[in-house]
Amino acid sequence: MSIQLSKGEKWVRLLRGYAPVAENDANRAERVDELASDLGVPKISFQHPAKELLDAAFPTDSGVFKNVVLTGTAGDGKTALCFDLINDLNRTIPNKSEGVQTITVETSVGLRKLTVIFDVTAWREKSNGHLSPSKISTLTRMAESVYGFDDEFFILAVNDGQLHEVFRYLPREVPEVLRQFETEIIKLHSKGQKSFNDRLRLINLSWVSSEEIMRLCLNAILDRPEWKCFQEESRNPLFSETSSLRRNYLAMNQPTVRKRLATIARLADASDHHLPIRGILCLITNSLLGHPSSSDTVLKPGLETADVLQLNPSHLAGFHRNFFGENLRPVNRNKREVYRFLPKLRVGDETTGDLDELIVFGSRDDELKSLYDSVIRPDPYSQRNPELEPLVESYIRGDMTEEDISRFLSEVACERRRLFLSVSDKDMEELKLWRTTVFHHAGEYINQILDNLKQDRPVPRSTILKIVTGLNRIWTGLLLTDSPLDAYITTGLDMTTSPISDILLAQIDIFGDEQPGVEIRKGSHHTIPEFLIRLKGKESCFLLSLPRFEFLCRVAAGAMPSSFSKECCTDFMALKQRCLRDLQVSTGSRVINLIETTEQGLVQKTPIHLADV
Amino acid sequence: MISSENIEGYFGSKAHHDAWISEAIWGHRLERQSLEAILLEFLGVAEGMYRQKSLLQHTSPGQNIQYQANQSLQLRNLLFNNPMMEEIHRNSDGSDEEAWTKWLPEIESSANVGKHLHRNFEYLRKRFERFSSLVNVVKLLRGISMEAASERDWDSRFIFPIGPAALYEPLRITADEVKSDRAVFTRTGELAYLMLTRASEQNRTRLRVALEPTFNPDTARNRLLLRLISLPEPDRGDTKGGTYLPYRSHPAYDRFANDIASVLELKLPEHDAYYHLQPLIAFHLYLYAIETANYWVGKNGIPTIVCEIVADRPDLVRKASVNSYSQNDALGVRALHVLIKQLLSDPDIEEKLQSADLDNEAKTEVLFQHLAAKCSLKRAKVRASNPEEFRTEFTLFSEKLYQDGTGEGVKGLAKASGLASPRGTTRHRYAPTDRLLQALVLANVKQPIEEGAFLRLLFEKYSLVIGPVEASQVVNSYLYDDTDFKRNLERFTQHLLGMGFAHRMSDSCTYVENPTSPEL
Repeated sequence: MSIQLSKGEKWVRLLRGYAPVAENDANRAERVDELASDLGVPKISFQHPAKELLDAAFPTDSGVFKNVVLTGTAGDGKTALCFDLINDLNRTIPNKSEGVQTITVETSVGLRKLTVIFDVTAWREKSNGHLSPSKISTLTRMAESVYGFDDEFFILAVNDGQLHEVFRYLPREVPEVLRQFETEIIKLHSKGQKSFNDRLRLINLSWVSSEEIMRLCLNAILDRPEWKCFQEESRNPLFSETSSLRRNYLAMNQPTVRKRLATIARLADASDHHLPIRGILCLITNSLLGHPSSSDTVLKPGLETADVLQLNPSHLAGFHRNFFGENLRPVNRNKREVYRFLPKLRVGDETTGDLDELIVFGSRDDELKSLYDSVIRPDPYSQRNPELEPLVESYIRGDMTEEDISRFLSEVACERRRLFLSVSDKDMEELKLWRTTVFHHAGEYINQILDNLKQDRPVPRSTILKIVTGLNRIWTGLLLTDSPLDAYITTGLDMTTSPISDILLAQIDIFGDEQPGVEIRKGSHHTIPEFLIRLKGKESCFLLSLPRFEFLCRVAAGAMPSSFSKECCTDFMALKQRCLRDLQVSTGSRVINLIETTEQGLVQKTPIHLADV
Repeated sequence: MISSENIEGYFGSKAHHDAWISEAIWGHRLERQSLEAILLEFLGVAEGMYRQKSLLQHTSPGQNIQYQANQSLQLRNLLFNNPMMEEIHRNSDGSDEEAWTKWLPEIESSANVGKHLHRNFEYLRKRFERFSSLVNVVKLLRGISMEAASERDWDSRFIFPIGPAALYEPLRITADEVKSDRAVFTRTGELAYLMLTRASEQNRTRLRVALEPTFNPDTARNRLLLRLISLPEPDRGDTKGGTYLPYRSHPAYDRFANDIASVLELKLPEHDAYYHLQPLIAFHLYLYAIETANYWVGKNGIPTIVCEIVADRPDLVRKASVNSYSQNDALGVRALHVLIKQLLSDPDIEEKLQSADLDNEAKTEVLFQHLAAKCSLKRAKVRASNPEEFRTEFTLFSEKLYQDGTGEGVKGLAKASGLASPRGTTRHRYAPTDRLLQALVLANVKQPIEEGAFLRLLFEKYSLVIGPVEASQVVNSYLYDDTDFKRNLERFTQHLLGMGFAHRMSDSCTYVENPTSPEL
């Protein structure tokens, strides 16, 4: 088959291997290699961000090896990392047909035996409902190595789910050392820790930043020389000037767009939602090749595509539609975790008065026209639906059927998404585009918190004040001031989680003279930062994820905590319980200070004596 | 479980009972009682026992457990029978003297403090420097009223149990007498206490260690309550008892004790544990009720409880959940029928009923006398002209007695615990609330646990079915759909994630975690 394909078509065929289609070959690392080899096109590759970490566990100069448990989401690159390691250490081509390979590694202090378990799929074959004796023996040897002094080492590469599955199918009677190993490894995994002793290291690829993976994947695809097919094969409808593939490629290649895509991956990290390599490659390839009129909704080389491109307007396959999986059939979309994550952001789904006014009236209103011309009108890669303008016209005239209204609303949402993905950072701020998503304050979270921490700069006082305002209101249940000087740690007379907690336990000076009472710092092993509260030498901290930050900001802006989100409220009440325990504060034994708010939201204290006068 | 070796008869008189039927199966008694009242009654009996230095000592069914409950009448008058206080305070324009002078006669004329105390509130004047300080304390304590929306009389209103002085019994107070009100504290909380007294020594020790500090009268909050009471300790009523739990041992006892102890051992700040104990106590009482009924109908263990994590649209999970609730709801009557059959099958009686020497009236009387002896049936309750009719009428009467009493109580427990609800439909089904889910996590999770393992635990320990793995084992095929149960599980995960009770590692692995666990 590959003989008949042009260079550009082979490249497209390879990309389809990563796209959300039935023959998605990227589901298994070894299949990608075969496909790439068949086509004669190098597979998409980049150095895995965790490669150095894995290499560091097997230093040939010192020979001080470690056992490694390599976990992560399916599609995070575990198998590829193992293959690379086998190749690097032993100069042999990995035996991909077996799930396990043992190699001998020469080090400066002698030979080391390394057993790499890179695929436990075959382990599903059970004997009497349990793992087979040979698998148990392999695991036991690994456990013995972890707690012993052998020169034999192991890598166990399994998905997070498989890690539990492997141990679940152990029979009741197994060596004690194996049970000990199970307990330790599950503990490390669940608590996000990295090592237990000098001979065991846990590398969880879910800790690798999705943003970094997005950048690497974008570079690995968009910077490939094969794209010269647009010049060299421009007579092929797939690569012609009007092809949606070409337009999407050009749109995605804009630095602003690449940056925005990385930002979306950053949001995933900030929401504690890791995007694996396979998911990101699927997202990018579908953004390029997606077409709702193609037989499997993704363009493929061949005659069918010529018809699809010729008979259907290219905006239907616009990058901003494909990116969110609009081209995919619901069953196909829902099968993939990445497309289950994106709708949670609700990009474009929330209405914003200013932006909608600009989209609808911008071309007709003299005051709005210049902004419209500079931000909305430009559409160099023909992504916008040409039918939007007539729909807007009908809307203004009030001449619409129910069906038209629904189509109009859907197209406006789509236009918001186009703008969200393509406008500059400056326009993003000015048009308040974050407000079209569920995270209205994501821009502030990224710019003021993540960026500053990344560059080792402090988070601005205004952001800290906003967080403390929200926290004070959630934790006290009172409408306290939005420019607080202190964080108030309070309790109810009945429970600490009482909706109105008006008994003051501690008042923490936010910025403090000697040391700030609250601080936002980088997460210890997480891409999510931590919010720290200090009191008299004691500390309490929680992960300041994007959903938590958003909740705090909404409450700081006046939302009622429990009506805005009961779940978030419960979350913050549990955090409060932990905070009180960590800071070891409790009601005084002689006086309790009741707090009330003044009209300005300031705190007024009323002491109540517990003992008689 | 229901063998005669495991059951002891009731120790007291059954004279006040129309018949002793539901009581023989579930005890005296499970009746409709609010979540708050169950907690307060449970803590009240435990506190009484603590004072008697017999907290959670082992009990047997034939033993009458007695204690003296607090009444704290002065405190209750000040909080709930004192409508003029704030108005007098407002009108006194800051003059303490004027306020005290007007208020003291007012409260002393309206208060009812029973026979053991005097209507004299002068002690408050000595204890509070200013009248406004008293008003502040009263307002503060009123702020923690429980069931504030209820329209109960002042003598049956409660505050959150911030100290032993707040653990008082509901009363019926008239000009002549002060009586315990068994319509508010129906004994269901006392039954919960008795269940715990029959748990293993190890669990009772855990509970004792965890509960004792909450009954310490010298805490800051209890001292605040005692400022409003003239005596060093709360006033108390007569000794009370009479609650009966038929079984020497029952799987529910240790299951319940273990969960309550686990929550208390988390050492949550202040009285936060009570928030979780409320649904847990009701949940365990409900499990006890349906598991007991299941034993009576010849089965073992807790029957399956299929839970819908509330969905926007009806699906097969909802159907399975409705079905499972209805089946378990019907168990009570089925258990009752087994007991009735036992009561009526007596060879001597059969012989008499077959006798040609007796006419129908005499035979009916024989049957009545037999049931009067066996289950304390009162004459006026079942009327019939022949034995057959008597049997039918007796069964109908027993069913009604059950439906109005224990049956209502069991339904109430399912609802109050947050396990069952008609949300979004017209029929009750198992649809656990977030609060119950939280309580179950707190009771069972110390270290993070993989979600699949947590679901297994819920299934093995409580027969709760949420995800497809467990559902595929027990749900009838016509009510099982893998996709629907997967969606149910996804909603469960989303709820836990949203509340901070879970951490998703990837699409294939989520850990359920207890954010309040010291081991996290």
